[in-house]
Amino acid sequence: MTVIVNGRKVELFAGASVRDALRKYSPEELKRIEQGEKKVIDSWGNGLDLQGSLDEGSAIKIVS
Amino acid sequence: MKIIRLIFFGLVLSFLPLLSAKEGKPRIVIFHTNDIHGMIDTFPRIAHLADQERKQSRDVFFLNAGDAFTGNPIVDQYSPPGQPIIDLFQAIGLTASTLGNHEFDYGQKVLAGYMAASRFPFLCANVDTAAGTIPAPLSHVTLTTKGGTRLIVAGLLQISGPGKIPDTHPDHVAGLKFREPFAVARSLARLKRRGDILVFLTHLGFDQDVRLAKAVPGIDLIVGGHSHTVVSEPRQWNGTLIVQTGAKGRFLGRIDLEIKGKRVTRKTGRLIDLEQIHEEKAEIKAMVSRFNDNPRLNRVLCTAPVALEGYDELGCLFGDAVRSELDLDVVFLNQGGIRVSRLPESIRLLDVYRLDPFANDVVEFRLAPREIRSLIRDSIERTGGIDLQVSGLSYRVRMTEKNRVEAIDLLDLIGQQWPEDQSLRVGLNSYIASSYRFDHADPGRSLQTRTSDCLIRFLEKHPDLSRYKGIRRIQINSRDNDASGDFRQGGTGGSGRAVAD
Repeated sequence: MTVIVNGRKVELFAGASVRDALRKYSPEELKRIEQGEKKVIDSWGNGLDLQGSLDEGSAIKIVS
Repeated sequence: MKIIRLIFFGLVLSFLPLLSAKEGKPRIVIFHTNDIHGMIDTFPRIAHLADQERKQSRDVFFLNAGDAFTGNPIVDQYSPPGQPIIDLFQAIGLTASTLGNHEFDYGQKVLAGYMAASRFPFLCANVDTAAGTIPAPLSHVTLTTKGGTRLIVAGLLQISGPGKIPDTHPDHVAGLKFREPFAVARSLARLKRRGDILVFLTHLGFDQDVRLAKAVPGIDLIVGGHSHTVVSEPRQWNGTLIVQTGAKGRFLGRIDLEIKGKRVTRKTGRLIDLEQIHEEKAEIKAMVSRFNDNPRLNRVLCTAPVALEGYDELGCLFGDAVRSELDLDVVFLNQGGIRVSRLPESIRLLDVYRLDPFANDVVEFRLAPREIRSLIRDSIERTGGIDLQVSGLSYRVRMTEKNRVEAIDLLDLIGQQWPEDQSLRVGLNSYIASSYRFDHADPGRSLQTRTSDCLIRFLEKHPDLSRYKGIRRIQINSRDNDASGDFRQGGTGGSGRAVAD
């Protein structure tokens, strides 16, 4: 499936989590989120847990 | 006098919510959780808050939007698995829960037991159980307030992939048929004629909840789960308020519905950060303490004649466990995911979680030998050496003088080159699947099964681990040190051996 991270398409296996998408997008950014320096939000600005499920076309964004 | 006045005003303030409810401004309070995933430590605080509200408001309901199970060994390894969650939900007075995809993880037999015995109903309107093991869940329940207002609460569960099943291992939903949730939702919307307030208790994910609200008019409220979305400031779409609490019991959701003439005049939602709540209900705290002190976590899974040590022995065992439990052709696991250097002769449950603490799922790909070689090549180039332990075949890597991969041979269990025209069902952990760069025409799919769970089940069935002593399935050679003669069926110097099953 394809999800969008910070406006960039990321190809992932079906059933991938937010963590999987971020790991593929940037392991460094994932680490910053895990350490609490940054967070990840959905299209509406809601916070997301790293184990959350993603759908085809889901768009997420990393913010400080 | 001043003290008496303070006590008087204190008493008045404490009764204000009751007065406002009884003075013709009735309201309904709905607490909600979702995606608890076995995390039970905040239940005493949730119970305290729910009890406090029940003392003040006449109509308090408590809904759970699925995925209460899977994610905490305390709950997953309980006998029967999941029982602590059921007991705690009953103790805090849960009104209803929808089925989440992870409610099927322990198998239909376990779920069927809970559906039959729980004091709260499991809801799901889009499953047909005729050929399955679980009883048919209720599609909806009608909750009636003391003032006579009727809430219809209907459950919906996500489905995905070509099989159109929830995100759990396909074996767990064998015989069950799932209908497209939006089509079912459209027919459920007619239920509003029989009630006053229509609530969908969904396990679809926030994006889908927004689509649902836009597509199906007349829904007053969607209490959702699945995407682990922290909806701090709930909004309305098409007149539908959509809420969700994140995951793992960090937040408790609270919805206030103000009612006039059995219609909702105002609806608001908010999250209560349970880390900021310090009062706990003692009775529930005692239950949680009892569950956390689970002796099963120390239970011995198997007593092997030898201790296993090093990446080769542990990796081959771990790979065989995943391959065997999920009936895959080949499994690759990265050495970085093996966090202990030794498993003792008596392997306890906790040893497995120490070896594999990452809660990675297994992801299946259909790969051609060429694609498998690209995976191995990436693993070597990213780490500068052997990284992927393997089950189901062995491999031999030849390096150039400049330490680049020159050739990779894939060998079957009797040491023959794997035919190029035969693709394989390959299992990878989700870390490899999402971070390694390799060719794969098949996008892959999660098997919704944790690697650690495979190892636990395998060890319980295969206590004799002596065949893993000295095993090795990988050889890496440079031109200077061409040791092809040393490498036989994954062994070194004749000491190793491939394991057939």
